[in-house]
Amino acid sequence: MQEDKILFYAGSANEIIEELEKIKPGDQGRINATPENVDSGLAKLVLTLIELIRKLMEKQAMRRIDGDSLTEEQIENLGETLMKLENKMDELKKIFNLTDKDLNLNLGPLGDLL
Amino acid sequence: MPIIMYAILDTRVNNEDISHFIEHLSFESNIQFELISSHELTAVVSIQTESKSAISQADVLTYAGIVDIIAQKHSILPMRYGSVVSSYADITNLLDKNAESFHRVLKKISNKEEYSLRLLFSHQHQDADFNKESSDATQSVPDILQGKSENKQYLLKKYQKHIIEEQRIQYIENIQSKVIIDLKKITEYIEFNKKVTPAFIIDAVILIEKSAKGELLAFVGQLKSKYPEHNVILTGPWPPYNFAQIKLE
Amino acid sequence: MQDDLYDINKEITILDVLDRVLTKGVVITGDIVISVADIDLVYLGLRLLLSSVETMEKMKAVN
Repeated sequence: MQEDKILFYAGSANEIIEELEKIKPGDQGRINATPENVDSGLAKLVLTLIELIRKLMEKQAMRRIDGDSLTEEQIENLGETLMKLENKMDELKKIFNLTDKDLNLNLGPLGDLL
Repeated sequence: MPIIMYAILDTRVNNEDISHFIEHLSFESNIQFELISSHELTAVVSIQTESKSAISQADVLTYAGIVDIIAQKHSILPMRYGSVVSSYADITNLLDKNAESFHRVLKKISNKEEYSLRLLFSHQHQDADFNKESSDATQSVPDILQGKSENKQYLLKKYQKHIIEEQRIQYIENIQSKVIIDLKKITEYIEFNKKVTPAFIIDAVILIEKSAKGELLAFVGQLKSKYPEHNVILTGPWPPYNFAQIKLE
Repeated sequence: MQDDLYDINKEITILDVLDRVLTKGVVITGDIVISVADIDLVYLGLRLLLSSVETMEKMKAVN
């Protein structure tokens, strides 16, 4: 029965499969804290939260730019801060051996955090 | 003695037929199915004969296959894999306690089938289109970001990404709202999966009358001609997995 | 070509089946029902299974 479920498809099958693989239910985003990996588990949790806040700040900054309500000085400060924050984040990710993909949490029915 | 549950159906609808059908299915599949009834509900179950510590993909697919075969003949509520109870009494209890919800949802899905409809960006299109737009975005630099300082350049890079992202979201929302209007003509039961990758323009499951299948196919054909640059895929008919969610007592 | 098509259909269908049967459908939880002692094992097994689906498909293709 299981092979005849595709009623219509047009496009690249490989692309379709690739994307479907990505949304396959799995255990990505789960934080498995055990005594052995508790350090990286904690780092992952903390960095995930920092990354969330960083992204929110970035979004907010873009809104402010759109709104055209920032002074020359504020723009300079904003650019510098966001840049430093991103660089710092990259350093930390390297230290704890984490990728962008790791810095996400699956919130079940609420979807992904980031 | 673990008991595996496969599906729940309305006993009042062709009661005799189901026991015949299950007998036949047991014979064909070499699994001894049983029917447990209460409150005009019937659960299709089998006893787990071997205890397992690991599960293979084949087990899951066999389970899904059985649910599918039953669904082809009857309107059922499919159970999630791993629905295992420890006694017949538990099943009766489950049916009794939730009879009203089960009957309500069974009525909703009666004579209907589920389909998955997906519209995805083709990688090439995605890159080509949004790179084009990105060069447009580059041209419109907000006054405040004019200037050569490193900080401004950094912000400008971020800003351009932000603009492309906004355009992309708008593009997707625009298609979605058009598709919803057309789908609503076929069925009121549409669920969008929001937890998807950026490649998905639409990832929806819909529940339609069995008789509306032709209409759906025609719609999907039109969708492809409207958006020839994207990947379109329709799968089904499925048992109503996405429309059987019940809060059980 | 025919075989390719068959494999693609099968692969997409399996992904869709697994998504449904493992994450959708009627879920029984609560005190009366999940009383089988090894239910945790079932779910643990499921997670392992899911991460290995891809690998299994590849192994099949090799054999």
